[in-house]
Amino acid sequence: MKADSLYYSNGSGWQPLPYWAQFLARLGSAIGAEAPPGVRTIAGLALPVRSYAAALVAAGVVTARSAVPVRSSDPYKYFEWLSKLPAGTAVCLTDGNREYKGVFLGFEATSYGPRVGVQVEKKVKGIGGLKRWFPPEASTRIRQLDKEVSVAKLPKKQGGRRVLAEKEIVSQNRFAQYFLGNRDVYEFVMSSRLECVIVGHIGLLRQEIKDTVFASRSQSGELAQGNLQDIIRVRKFSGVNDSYRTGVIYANSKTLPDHPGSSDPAVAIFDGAASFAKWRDSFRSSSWIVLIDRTERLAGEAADLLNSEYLQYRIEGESVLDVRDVPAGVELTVFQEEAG
Amino acid sequence: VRCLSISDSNSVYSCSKRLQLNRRSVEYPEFEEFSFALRAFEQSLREAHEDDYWRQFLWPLRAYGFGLLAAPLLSGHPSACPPDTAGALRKHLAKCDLIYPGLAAPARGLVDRMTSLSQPNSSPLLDVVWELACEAVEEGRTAVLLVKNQRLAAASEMVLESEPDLGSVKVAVPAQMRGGDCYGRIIATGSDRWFPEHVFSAPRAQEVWLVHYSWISNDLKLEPLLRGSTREVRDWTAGGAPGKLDLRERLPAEQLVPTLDWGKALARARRRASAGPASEEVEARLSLLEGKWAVFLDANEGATIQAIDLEEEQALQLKRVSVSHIEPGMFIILRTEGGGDYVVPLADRILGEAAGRLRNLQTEWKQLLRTAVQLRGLSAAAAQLRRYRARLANEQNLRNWMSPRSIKPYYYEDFAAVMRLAGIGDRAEEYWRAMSVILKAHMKAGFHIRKLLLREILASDLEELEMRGRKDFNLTEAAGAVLTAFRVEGISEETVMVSPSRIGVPFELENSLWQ
Repeated sequence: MKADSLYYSNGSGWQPLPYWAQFLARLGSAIGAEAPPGVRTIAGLALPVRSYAAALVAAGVVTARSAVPVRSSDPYKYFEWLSKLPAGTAVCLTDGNREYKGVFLGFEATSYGPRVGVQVEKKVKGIGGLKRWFPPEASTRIRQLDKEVSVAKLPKKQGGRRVLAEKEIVSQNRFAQYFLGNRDVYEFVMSSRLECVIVGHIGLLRQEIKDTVFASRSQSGELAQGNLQDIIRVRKFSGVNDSYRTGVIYANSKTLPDHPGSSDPAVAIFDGAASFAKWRDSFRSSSWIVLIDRTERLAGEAADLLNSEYLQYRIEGESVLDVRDVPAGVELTVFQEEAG
Repeated sequence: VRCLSISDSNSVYSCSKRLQLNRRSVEYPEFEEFSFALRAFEQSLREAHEDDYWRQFLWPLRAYGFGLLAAPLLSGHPSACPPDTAGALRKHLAKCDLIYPGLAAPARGLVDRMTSLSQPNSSPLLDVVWELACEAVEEGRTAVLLVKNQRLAAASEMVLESEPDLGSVKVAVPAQMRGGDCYGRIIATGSDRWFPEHVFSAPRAQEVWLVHYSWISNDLKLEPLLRGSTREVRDWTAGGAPGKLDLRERLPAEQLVPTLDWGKALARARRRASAGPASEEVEARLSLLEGKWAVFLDANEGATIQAIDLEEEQALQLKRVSVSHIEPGMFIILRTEGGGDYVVPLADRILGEAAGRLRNLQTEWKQLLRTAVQLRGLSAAAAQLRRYRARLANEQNLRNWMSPRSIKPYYYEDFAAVMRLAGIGDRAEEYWRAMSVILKAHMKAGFHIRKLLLREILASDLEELEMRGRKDFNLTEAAGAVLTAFRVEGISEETVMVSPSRIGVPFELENSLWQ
């Protein structure tokens, strides 16, 4: 990630992102990077204002986590993983330049060799119900979806939807490409995995992540416009068929919505004191980034909660982060705990 | 909370980057003498300090002293000293020689000091504020005067308006130091203990001046908030000419702020708020509101109230909050014209012609139930309900069911038992249907008012709400009510039993309840 490649508009032109904003993105990247096994990192920040902090640290987290491939590039390893999915899992099948939603049928050892199957159409009056079986070499054409699809809900006839070619996708995601640096932007845009969850005010996050225009600069100096959603890929702010990397939860929601994906996020970002006070215990397996706006009514209480974490659970060890050069007005604490 | 741009956020961070915290200590010997004399007198009262007689005498003096300490008010300006305060105090002391012979002379001495202090109409604090504000304005920077609360802000505005050079200086309260508005210079008056820490630790100006009289304590140190953090302790820089080491006694700033005597306020308010038999009373908490107003809030588990949360994003600022979650700084919405419950009149309009008949049925079964409870006693009546197979019968719930504020129990089994106890068990179904119609109308009315209020809130300048601590929303035409959002200043830990009709009805607290 290149935090200094990000630009914002101040009304009269593009300006490099201020130091505090670059620092927040770099901090997110450091926390998002793989932590030692069994350990999670807690970063607490007291800020003069909450604006953009969650969005920027999330951009850092997602970028760092994008170094870990979502699916194996080796089709045999991918086939092995795929064959363990339960039958009935919703999947997406790519065929040429078209994409079909379907239902995973499971693994079968056939006389031609091992196969995994996908059904893309339902059977009506004994007709149709196309089932297709794929060998390991073709398994990467199948992608898991995080939504409910049953055979009964499949169309009788499915024309599929046109998917853009890799080249087109890359060209439409220049902003992400310049920001991510030397990562595979096609793979990043096309695959989903829950990397982080932001707990906060959804409307404000939407404005900061989706409605605020930024630009990123390529090595040759070319600027591409976009918004942080192109990086963070908040599931709630995306179309149903779009890939995601981040979930958002309303700080005052009464219950915790199901996470998209099957596992806990690598990082939970608490945007505000109330978010942390209410939801911290729901993410004890994840690393935490706790953002406390000093002007919030509950700032002192949230700081007390974080301080008691520090006193009770902090484990001694070398810090994973270089926390020098903290911006003026920002207070930062970083420590590690055993992952719950 | 509104969404800031990166540029606005950057301005906030820039304030911290170049922050200078400066302090300016100001002398005013006559006022210092008055302040210490007042304190000495209060200490000399000992137990008599609790007497209403002395509270009524001391309140105007304490309010006067605090006003001059905490804001740049002129000593003789009506905003600091309402006309004829001294006359009223002298009248109050007329019989003091008979009641408290030993205290009459020093008490009159205090009034004399106040009179002589107010005659030159001066304020050395204002002189320094004027100097600092003019300097900022001349340098092309914006200056803001920051005072502890809305009352002081309103009084300060009156003073600044009369100063030709200070017309552009804005007056603000700490709640306004949260958003993206940044200033060239903040001039806070009074002790640093009277402001929330964020005013200094997350400032909205690159230069913060604290201007205070020399004899009040100022010892705030900006300690790190987080354990193991990188931030260093910040201290103040003394402004003005270097002074010699000052070892004089200082008045503790926390004790100078007029505070409500909760015990006395609860007892007094409870006396007024109880009417009718004790069995009909409901448990309530006293909530202190902006501007010396107060209200009783239903303390029952599950009781909620409409509130505005300025820390939420705009579309979600209006919400129902559990009374047990109300805390200082939040805004609650009360009806300030007519009765306490603003839903009833609109619900009746929704019910139309049926309203009269349905309300009569509601009044009738509650009256019969109250009579039945009075005959048996609360505890025996609750036990009887349990024998009648009620699901949730206990004394507290029975009180609620009798209250005109509740429409019906949640479970039919409870309602059937209640009706049986009231002697009309054979008509339980008929009444249940009627009460369900009322409940539906209440829900519809509540939803409609919420929609109207939300529209008003979205169209309002909520900065005014933050500054003034209260704001009226006129829904007279649409809902027949004027609703007022009040900032909550405090809430009693203790609960008291009050008449249900007093719940949600704001009232003004008397001066003698303050200390």
